[in-house]
Amino acid sequence: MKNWIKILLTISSKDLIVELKSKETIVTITLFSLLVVSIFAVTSSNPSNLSAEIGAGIMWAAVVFSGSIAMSKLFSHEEKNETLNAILLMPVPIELIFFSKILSLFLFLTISECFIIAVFSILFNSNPLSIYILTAIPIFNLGFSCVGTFFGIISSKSRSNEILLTLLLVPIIIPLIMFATELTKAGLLGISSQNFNLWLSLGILFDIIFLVVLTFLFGKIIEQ
Amino acid sequence: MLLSAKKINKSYQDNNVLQDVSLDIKSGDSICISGENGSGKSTLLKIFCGLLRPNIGTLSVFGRDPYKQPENLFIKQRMGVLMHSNMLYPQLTVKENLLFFSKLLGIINYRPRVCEVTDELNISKFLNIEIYKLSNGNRRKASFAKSLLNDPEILITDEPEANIDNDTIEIFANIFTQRLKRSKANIFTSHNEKFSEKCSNRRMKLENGRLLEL
Repeated sequence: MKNWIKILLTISSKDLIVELKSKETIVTITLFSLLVVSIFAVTSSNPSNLSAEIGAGIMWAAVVFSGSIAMSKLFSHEEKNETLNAILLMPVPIELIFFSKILSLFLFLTISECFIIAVFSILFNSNPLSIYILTAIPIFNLGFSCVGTFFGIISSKSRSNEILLTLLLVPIIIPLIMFATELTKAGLLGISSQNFNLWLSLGILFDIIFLVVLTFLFGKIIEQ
Repeated sequence: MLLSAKKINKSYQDNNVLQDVSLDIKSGDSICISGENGSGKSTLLKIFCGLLRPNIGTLSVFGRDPYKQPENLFIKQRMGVLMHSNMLYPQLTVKENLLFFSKLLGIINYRPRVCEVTDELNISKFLNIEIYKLSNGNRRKASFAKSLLNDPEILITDEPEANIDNDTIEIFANIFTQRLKRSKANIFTSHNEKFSEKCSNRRMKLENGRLLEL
């Protein structure tokens, strides 16, 4: 177990070093999201009075689309340099490779979302930071990274990988987007969400199901 | 037997690349496979290292199934692979790349080992330079260093001498012959007659999908 954690951290810290040097994934997510949020802010006649429903939608739509672009970039680089094959040739269980990629994407998304929330609160003069959004972020990021890693690796073999990944990814994570939007809405309104427990269960259940199923399928796909 | 392949068949759509390829590799074998471009040499090596699965046929490495976990972890720990692509992270330095793969290989004293292989390949002066800043030849050397990190029982290399200068070819050839003296096995593809003559004790040719002993 100790060895597994060591391998997991080795691969993820390598991803972080590569990211610190190239700054591609975090910069893509952050800039693209900020652009989307800014467009809504400048085109809205009164951004301060934007409804919580639309505000939460804008924020998560920006994260989802920029995240999927960043993921396809990340995996197409791995494919181009055959570095994923290099890791597959190492004595590392396939599941650990999957988990380490999830962990790396989770970190990249979390860092980018910190910037997005900060800019969102400035542009829309509202504070989305609440217990709700702090709950939504890790659960959303885990599910998004899990599904994104799985389809990112599959679609990296395709020539039109960016479109393919978004097309595969977005329909599957709709329950997760609904969960995150609902909680963010409650956070923006500053009221307690009536169905908090229900949405929380949905988010956690989504993560557990996809983590288990995709870990199993990832091993099978790589073996084939 | 280190590696035993029986009646390996591989096809890409309608193109039969490999037909009934059988091969046994034991300690101290150094096998050079030659053949025209597109004859299936790289495909065969990818099957041997577990990156590709044959359509038909069986393969066992160290008496284990290379496609089954956790059996294949034992194999991967004792195998070194150098393919056409260098399989290195271009943004990382030579040292960062080698340290990363050493850790994954579970090498205990990995820092001295990295120094040892880079000295052997004469790339110590490039240790702190990012891969993308290196020439193709030096990238190849760094990639070769990666495949030697675990002092593998079987070294699988696909045209190791391609795109490198004569001095480097000499270094590579010395490494192959040194390994032979220590009863380690090498299997490689090459178009270079001189190199293959110097580094191999068994020569084979892939022709029309079939592996022929020369």
